[in-house]
Amino acid sequence: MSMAEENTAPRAAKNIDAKEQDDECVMKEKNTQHTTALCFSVFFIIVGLPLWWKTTEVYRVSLPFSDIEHLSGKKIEYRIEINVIWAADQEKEKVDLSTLASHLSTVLEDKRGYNSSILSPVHRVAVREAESREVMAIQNAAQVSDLSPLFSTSQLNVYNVIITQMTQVLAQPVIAPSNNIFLPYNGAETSSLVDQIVQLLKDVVRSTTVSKTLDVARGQITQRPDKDTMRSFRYHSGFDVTFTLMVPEPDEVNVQWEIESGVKDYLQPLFTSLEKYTHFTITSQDGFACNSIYSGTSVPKVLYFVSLGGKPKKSENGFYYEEQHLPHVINPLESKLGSHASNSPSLNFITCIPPMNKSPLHIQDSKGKYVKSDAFLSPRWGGVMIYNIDKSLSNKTRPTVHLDMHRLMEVFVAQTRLLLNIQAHMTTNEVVVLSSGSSSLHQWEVAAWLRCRCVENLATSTSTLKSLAQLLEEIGNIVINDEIGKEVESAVASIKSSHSHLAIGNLEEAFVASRDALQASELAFFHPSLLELLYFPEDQKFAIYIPLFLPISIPVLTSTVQAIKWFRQHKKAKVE
Amino acid sequence: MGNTGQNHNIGIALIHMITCFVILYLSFNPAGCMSHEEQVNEFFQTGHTNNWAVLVDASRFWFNYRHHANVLSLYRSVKRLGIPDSQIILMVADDMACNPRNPRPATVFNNQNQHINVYGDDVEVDYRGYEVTVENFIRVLTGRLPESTPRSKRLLSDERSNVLVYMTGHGGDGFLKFQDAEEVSNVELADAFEQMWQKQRYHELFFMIDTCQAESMFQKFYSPNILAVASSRVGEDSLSHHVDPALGVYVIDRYTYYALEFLESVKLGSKKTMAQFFKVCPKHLCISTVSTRTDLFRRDVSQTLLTDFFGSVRNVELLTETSSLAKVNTSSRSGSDTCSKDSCKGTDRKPGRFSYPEQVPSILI
Repeated sequence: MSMAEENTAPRAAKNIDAKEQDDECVMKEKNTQHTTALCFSVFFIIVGLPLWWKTTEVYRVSLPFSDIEHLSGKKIEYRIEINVIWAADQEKEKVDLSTLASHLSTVLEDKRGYNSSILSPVHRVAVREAESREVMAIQNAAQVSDLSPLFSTSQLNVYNVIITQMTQVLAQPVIAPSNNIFLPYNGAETSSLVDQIVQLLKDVVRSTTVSKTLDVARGQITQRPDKDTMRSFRYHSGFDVTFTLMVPEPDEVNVQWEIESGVKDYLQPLFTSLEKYTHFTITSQDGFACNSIYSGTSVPKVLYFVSLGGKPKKSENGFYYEEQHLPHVINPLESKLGSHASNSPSLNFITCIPPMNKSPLHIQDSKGKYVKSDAFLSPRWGGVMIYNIDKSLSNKTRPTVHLDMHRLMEVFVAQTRLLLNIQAHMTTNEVVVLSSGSSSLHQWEVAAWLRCRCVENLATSTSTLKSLAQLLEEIGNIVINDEIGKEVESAVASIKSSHSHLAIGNLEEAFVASRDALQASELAFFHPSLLELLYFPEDQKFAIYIPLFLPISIPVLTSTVQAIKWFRQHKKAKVE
Repeated sequence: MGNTGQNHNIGIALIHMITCFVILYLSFNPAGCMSHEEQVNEFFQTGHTNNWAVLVDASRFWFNYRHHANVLSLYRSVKRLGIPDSQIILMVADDMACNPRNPRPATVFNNQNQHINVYGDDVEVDYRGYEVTVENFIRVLTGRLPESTPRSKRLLSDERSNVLVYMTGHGGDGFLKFQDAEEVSNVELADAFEQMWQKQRYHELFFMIDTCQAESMFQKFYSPNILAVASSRVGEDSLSHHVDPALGVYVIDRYTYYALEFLESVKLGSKKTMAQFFKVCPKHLCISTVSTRTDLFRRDVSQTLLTDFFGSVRNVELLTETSSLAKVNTSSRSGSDTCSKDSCKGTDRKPGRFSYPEQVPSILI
């Protein structure tokens, strides 16, 4: 027994030894296993997570958000300088010039308009007495236009108000081409004189139009449709102007028009006055003159056998369209006007020769009278003119008719002025606007146009940048690449420079800067890369990540948890 | 006769409304002080100057013939009512007319009587085939198109444009499927419209959708001046109208069918209103419930003309004053007024003769 006992003891010891060895082996194995699991999870945390974060990050250049925020609340100030020149020598004692100056500036300050928190003109008034040679010149002038060069100024924001004596030449207020206003003095009190001056300045500076333009550009259009702002185009860097002649019966009449020379003689001066600021591409479709007039391509399309749509009514001496029928006259034509190659808006001018059995054709207004011009316009589209041919010609077989370009262009120039918002409504009674006889714009017209467009561009580009910033805040997936960043930076810089130029009265520089700002901000907002990643709502991201990450993350996570648990137990066991 | 009387009344009511508005405006807004002299006739009749339409058929394949017919029928209607092709963006897979399974090639009909070939010969498809994607659709709306995109493929609308957006296809709760490949969600669509509003790309927008659970597509809209109508409520299916046994497929959806029936009766200058249009498909005809959304729209739908969206009624202004220009003496150029055929020769432009280029260089011969 003892032997057996002796024998069994070492065996048991051996057994225990082996068991311990086994245990140790298992322990070691488990140790390695859990260490590996921990290593994996550490690897995932240190390498995987940052890698995933970095690679899925939306690339975004930092944008000057605070500047944009600041600019959108910034007030637009434009400076106007008024030189009042007293040339009414005899009546000198009636008005004290310094009182006039102070009175005028206070009245102008008061009349800032309703949106003075966002837009305000800054007036600087200077009053001086005329030099004797100026007085002499005024007294001896045979025409007002002779006086203009005497007081001319090349600066767009400087206006000269010349108060003269009533003479035969100067019996009523006259607005001369180069920013000069001649006001014959009627012996009134200072306050009524000041009112007169303010009224005239309002017409010339067009401050109401400026503030209206700003409202529209800021998107604060009321439901009240306003004719002026609806009719005219907003600023574009280019316009396509197309002239179309419609000859419904080429077999009856041979119609010839020299549109090229017509445009050159009558319309080109207008375009030349604006050519520094916007580009006009003129084309015509008249069948035979296929080459373009200035630049761009023309559509060599004959609009023969085409007439205005709708059914004109018959009257005793001809036919007429009523005003409410006119909207339906244009629509059928539109498909025949040709498509435009460029993205600039187009001004369409149509001349229509009525067919013989419908002529003379007129337009009747709401009061039942014929419109003298036989023409109408459609806002932001163009104009149509009905050109009646002398009916006595119809006795001949296929007479040749040359269209009177002067008559045509008087209509089209007026329509162009309306469509581009150059036409000013004079609120002062009896004011005479000196006309140069050509369609070229007067300095004060250019100045007012530039002022409106500058303010409009500033408001548009600022609101574009602001909505871009807002968009980026709302939607996290939008990529902003370096190019967009650059455009936004340049737009902000241009807006700032335009603001400062406007405030010190450099109208032209301010306009150019505002145009650059507009272009840069539009480019940034409409950049195609903004849509490279479609806008996923956040919950859709989970739908993408879950199938990707679950198969990897579940084993890693569970094994990590187990490893931590095991190591803790192991530590406890060792301590005991 | 009664109808014209009614039209007259509506006209008077409209004028009254505008007058009231002006009076309200003048009394509440200090800005109005300046415009005392302005008369009611100083304003245009409507607040928009141009109309645009974006018509989308989001599905493809032969069995979706009806969607194709839907969108083409609507295209014809808006074109008939005056929106020119240059202002219609038509997105359609365009795989029906020339489908090998089409027994009447080069035609698409929206009725089993096959009266009107809606494919016609003047359909200008702007985005076709695989170009009809969510991305392109959103790009068109937001204007974020590559620079090379031609004018005809762009929505060049402004703050005075009324835009009609019509969509048809297969949809679900909160999405519309595009060509079995992807879908546009209602959130995306609402965001796109908001961006259009922010960038002043529409004056008023009318959204019309014919699909299952169509209502869900406009529930997320939050931008102002949007009017929306959908063929069915959430949880409802929109159904097709009838099958053409000759073609073997359904040819039109119910809602679009009845909407078109109504639109056919609309003429240029019609005084039918949006409120009337909303009632075109009662439940017993449509089977699904037509649902509308008007809370974002500022005007009263019963005063809003159908042609504000479905047609193009332009504002016009008579030219009362012409510019006086000095007559330029063009006697040298217009001397041809009196010239005879022989003496005019110098001024007449002679078209150059065209000839073919040589096919084989002359050296070789």
